[in-house]
Parts: sequence; C-alpha cells; structure tokens
Amino acid sequence: SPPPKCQMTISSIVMTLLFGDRKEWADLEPVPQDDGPNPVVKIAYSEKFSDVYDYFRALLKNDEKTERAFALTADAIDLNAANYTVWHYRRVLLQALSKDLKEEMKYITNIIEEQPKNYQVWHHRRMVVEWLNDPSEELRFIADILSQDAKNYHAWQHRQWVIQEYKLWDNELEFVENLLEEDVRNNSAWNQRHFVISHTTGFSDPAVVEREIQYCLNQIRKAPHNESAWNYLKGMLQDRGLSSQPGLLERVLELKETHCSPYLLAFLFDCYEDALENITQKEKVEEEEQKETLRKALEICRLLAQEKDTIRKEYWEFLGRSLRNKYGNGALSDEPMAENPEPSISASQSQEAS
Amino acid sequence: MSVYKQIHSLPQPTLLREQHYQYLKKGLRHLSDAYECLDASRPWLCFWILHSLELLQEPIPAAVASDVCQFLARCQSPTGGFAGGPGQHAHLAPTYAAVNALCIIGTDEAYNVIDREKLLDFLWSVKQPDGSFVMHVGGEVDVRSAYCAASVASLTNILTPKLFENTTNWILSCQNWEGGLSGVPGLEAHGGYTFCGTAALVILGKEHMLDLKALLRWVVSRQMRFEGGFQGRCNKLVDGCYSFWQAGLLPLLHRALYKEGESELSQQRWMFEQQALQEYILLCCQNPTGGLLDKPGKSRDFYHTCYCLSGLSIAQHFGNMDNHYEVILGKEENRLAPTHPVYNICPEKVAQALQHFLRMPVPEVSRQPGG
Repeated sequence: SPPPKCQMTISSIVMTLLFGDRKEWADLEPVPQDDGPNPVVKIAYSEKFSDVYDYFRALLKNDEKTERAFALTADAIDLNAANYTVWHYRRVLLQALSKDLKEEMKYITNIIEEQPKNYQVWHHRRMVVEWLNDPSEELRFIADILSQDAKNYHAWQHRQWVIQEYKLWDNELEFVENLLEEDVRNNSAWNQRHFVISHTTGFSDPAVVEREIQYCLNQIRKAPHNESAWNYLKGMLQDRGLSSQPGLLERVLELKETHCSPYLLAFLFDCYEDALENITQKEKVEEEEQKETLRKALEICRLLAQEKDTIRKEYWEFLGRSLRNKYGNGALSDEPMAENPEPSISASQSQEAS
Repeated sequence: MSVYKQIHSLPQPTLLREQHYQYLKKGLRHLSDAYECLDASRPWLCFWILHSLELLQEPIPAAVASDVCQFLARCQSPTGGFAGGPGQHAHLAPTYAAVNALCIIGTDEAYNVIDREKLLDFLWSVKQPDGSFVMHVGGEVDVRSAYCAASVASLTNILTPKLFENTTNWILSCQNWEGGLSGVPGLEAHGGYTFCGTAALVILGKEHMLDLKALLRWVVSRQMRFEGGFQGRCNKLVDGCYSFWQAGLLPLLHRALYKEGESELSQQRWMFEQQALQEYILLCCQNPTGGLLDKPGKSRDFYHTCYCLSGLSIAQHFGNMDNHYEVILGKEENRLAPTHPVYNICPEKVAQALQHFLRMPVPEVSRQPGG
C-alpha cells in the first residue's frame, strides 16, 4: 500500500499525519462538504483543512462524544478559529467528558494571545470562567492583552463583564489612570473611567464631579487637541446641564487663550446652548443676556464651519440655523445675517423626483 | 486638495470599475485558501460580492444567481436561519447576509429559499428575556444581533412586536456618554455597533427614543479632517469600511430628525463632507488590480470592497421624500447605484422584497423563546 501522506507546515517542524491516514480513525467515514454541483464562493481549501473538516463533519453527524473528537476540535480551531460550530461542539465535549477546565483555561489563554481579535475565543473563555466560577486570572490576563493592544474591544468587553459579574471594582480606577498616563488619548481607557465611576461613586457627588473636572482640565493642558478628554468632560456633565457647573465656563474661556482647539470651541458652544435652554424670562436684563449668548453661540458656529472645523461645515451650519430658528426673533433681523444659506447647486448634480 | 490637483494637473479620481468587476466576478466563484478564515462566513462572501456588483450596476447572470440560491439553500439550517456554510449551525450574521443576498437576486427562486416559519423559530431560539439576542445558540450577545434579527424579520414579514419586546430598551441602553452606541452597555461607542443599533431602532420605529442630537454630534466628529474618511472610534485611525457604518448614519439621522419636526435640515446634503469622503475612497482605498481596502498599505478583501463602495454610494446620493441630489466626484462613470441606508441593498430590491413577503401571512410561533 502507498505510504501515508504527511504534512509539514512551514511554521513548525512537527509532521502530522492526515486524519485520513491515522489507524485510530479508520472506523470513521469522512463527510465531504456539500457545496452542491455548481458551488459559489468556493474556497480552495488546503489538503489539511479538508481532511480535518471532513472528519469534523463525520463526528458531528454521529454526535460522537469521545476523547478523539475533543482532540480534533483543537485542529479544527487551529485552522479556523472563527468556526463557532466547532467551538460549540468543543464546549459540549468539555462537559460530556468532564474535562479539566483549568487545562482548558491554559488552552484558551494561548489561543487568545495568538488571535486576540476573534469573537469566539473570548466567548469561550467567558464560558469556562463561568463554569469554574473563577475570575482570579482574568484581570491580569486582560491587562496583558491590553499591553499589546490597548484598545482591543473584545478585551475591554471581557474586562467589564468580569468586573461587573464578580464585583472586582476596587483597583480599576487605578488601572485606568495608569493607562491614561501611558496614552492620554486612549479613548477606551476614558470609557473605562466613566464605567468605573458610574458604577461606584456615581457622578452625582459634587466632590467626584469637581475631581473629574480637575482631572480633565489637567489632561487638556498637557494635550490640548485630545478629543477624548473634551468628550469626557461634556459627557459627564451633559445630563445635569453644562451651565449647572459654576465657574466651568470661565475656566474654559481661560484655556481658550493658550490651549484652543476645535473641541474647546465646541464645548463653549455647548455651554452657550445649554445656557439658552435654561434661561428664565424673568427680568429684562435676561433678554439682553440671552441675545448676547445667542450671538456668541452663532459666532462659534460660524468660526467652526468656516475656519476651525471645516470638515464639519454642514453640521455647524445646521446647528447655527437651528439655534437661530429656536432662539432668534424678529428683533434680531437688523443683525448681519450669518452666512448659512443653502449651499449653491453644483454643476454635477441632477435632480429627480423620488 | 483641489489646488494641489490644479497645480500638478492630476487627472480626476477614477473608480476602477473594470478591475473591481473582474475581482468580484472571480471571487463569486473561486477564492484562494487565504479565505479559509472565512469558511464560517460564506453567505457574507455572497452578500459582499453581490452587493458590490449591484452598486457597480453590473448584472448578475441568471445561472450564477440560481447557483447562489442553491448554495444558500444548503447553508440554511434544518432548524431555521442560515449558517456560515453547509452543515454548520445557524448564526444571525450569516442569516442577515443570506437574506440580503437573496433579496439582491430578487427572483422567486431566491425568495422561495427562505423557510419563513423556521426562520421565526430560529429568531425565538436566540431571543433573551432582557430584549437582546445571542448571535447563535450558546453564543455571545451584542447589538449586531438585534440589527440582524430586525433586518431579516422585517424584510421577510415575520416581525411581531412580541419578538422584539424589550429590544428597544436594550438597544437604547447601548447609547453611552459619548453619544454613540457600544456593542453591549458600558463599552466604548463604535461605528459598527452604532450603525447596527440605530438601524435596528429605525426598523422598529423607535429611533426617536435615542438622544439624536448627541448621536449626531458623535458621528459627525468621526470624520477625519485630514484624511476625509471616517474612524470607527474616537482617537483611532481612519478605515474605509467606516465609510458605510459611520457615514450611513447620516441618512438615518436626517430622516429621524425630519420626523421629529426639525425644520433646518439641508435639502441637498447629508451632514458630513461628501466630497472629502469620496476623495478618501477613490484616492486611498482602491487596489489598482481590483478590490478596495481599509487604508493604503492594507490588502484588499471583499468586506472592504463592499463597504467602501457602499460608503461611496452614500456620499454620492442625497435623497429624501421630495428630491434626490447627486454629488459625483470625478467623471460621471464614477456614479454608483444608490443604496438603502437601513438594509444596505439597493432601494428597489428592498421594496420588491417587502412587496413579495407582505402578501404572505406572518407565521405562527411553534417554539418557545431561548435564554
């Protein structure tokens, strides 16, 4: 009989027999993929890939729950870690064969290190942690993954799940601050900051809010064009209203001289808009103040649309029109009309009734 | 940018139609072993390629269309929904892709592939008590699943309020302090998830329950002032695929704000810089031998081909109830077909599918919810 075929992979010096040539598998008839007579999106699988998956399909068909089936799932995963059917089957086998889940943790740790941007591997880890009811390795493991890619979405998702499920809040704010020290522009870390605080002290405590404002302004002084810090400042205060925080507007106006940015200007706009929303029509002096606030807000819109943030021209012009429509009135008609007419029709545009 | 062109007499940006067409035509039949990693996403490959071809207004030969139908029929699970390949388990993502691909084909043969009763059973089997959906039985939850479920349920007319009970509130809980939406509550706002959550709410008629102003501010801020393309998250890099996931939100928000009585909306433009996005796609995201990509230096693939072209279409076509304005950068030949901002297939195909399935009764439920 011809000698069994071997596969030598470039990435390792291990030679492995195809399952089709292994004596221990001789009893199982492999099941080729049923793509039909005229396949589409037909993948030119390697011989190894077809071999492993032909045997996987056979196991699935027979609902085989054996050690050899478990071993094969690792090969199938190695060839395509996104095959969620294989992962599901592996989990069925883990339970049916009462496999050592601590060993499985080691396995999944290695797989995630190799392929950290895959959905299935993280979900599998979550299942094993739940079965073991043991989160003790998680924060350190996730920190390691984040040290390689500080914005890995799956890693953050797993981290938030672990922290919330097992109430591991205690050191997380410190963890976040360290990450922000390394990269103050890491928006994932800013999000985690919001996550920790909103689930622990909350943002109602004025001492917390003042501390966070202080923190933001310090980061802004260090890196003025960091959108994350400005978004966090606004995001933290917007429910209560930006004008509810006394002295904040003044502090930002101070920063405008030396640390200006489109984000600072947008924040000022938001402050003015919030002030307009909350103005009470009690005294005549309020009406002058309102007109002045509106004027300042519209001037910022114009500045952003025409000079400082032109990529968002359409948006800033819309906001200007909206604001004027809402708070402007006939008394303002002798003010110079801000240049926010509809953009002129370009030559390349056509018009058809839809 | 235009001054540079004037000075250096650069030709107008050109969409490499013929090259993209050859790349797509081949991929619809054969893919190299580099695609082994997508062996559990083959309906996606069908959708990405067919949608790209429909945007390029390249016809699908009837024989090919029929072959796609028969292949997707083999991907359909006996218990309902579609899997990543024949013999695999059903999953909401390939289900979304398969239904979209079949609607693009739009023949009776295509529509008849879908077992509506079993599809409804599948959706119930992945529904969770808190309103969310897992992506597959024993799988993970995130906001993509709500979009996939809402998309297929609405197109095939199997949608009932009970099926989406609590889903609206769950999606709303994904809107965060940044104004965008995250994959699950608590996480960072992200373009892909924001699109899925918003489009799902539009299908459910509940988009007005979002903080639309905060969402609008977040998404317009994702357009990169130098590159012209969009980033997926604040302080991350531009990527051609967000040309659809992010820019596609502007048509959705435009309509949502209009329905809320907003009087100052433009009647000609979306609230992003349409020309700059077209420039980014045409100048930075095309592979000269066909296919589109994330950013210069990256490899082409069918996912980026689909979403770069979809984004280019969004940037070219403005439309509301009363009018349709086009902004075509470069030659008229760069013009793509319009795409529907909720489903991301051509609007005629959406209408045709709805018309077909609305004639049928909504199936009775034969299974109990999962969870």
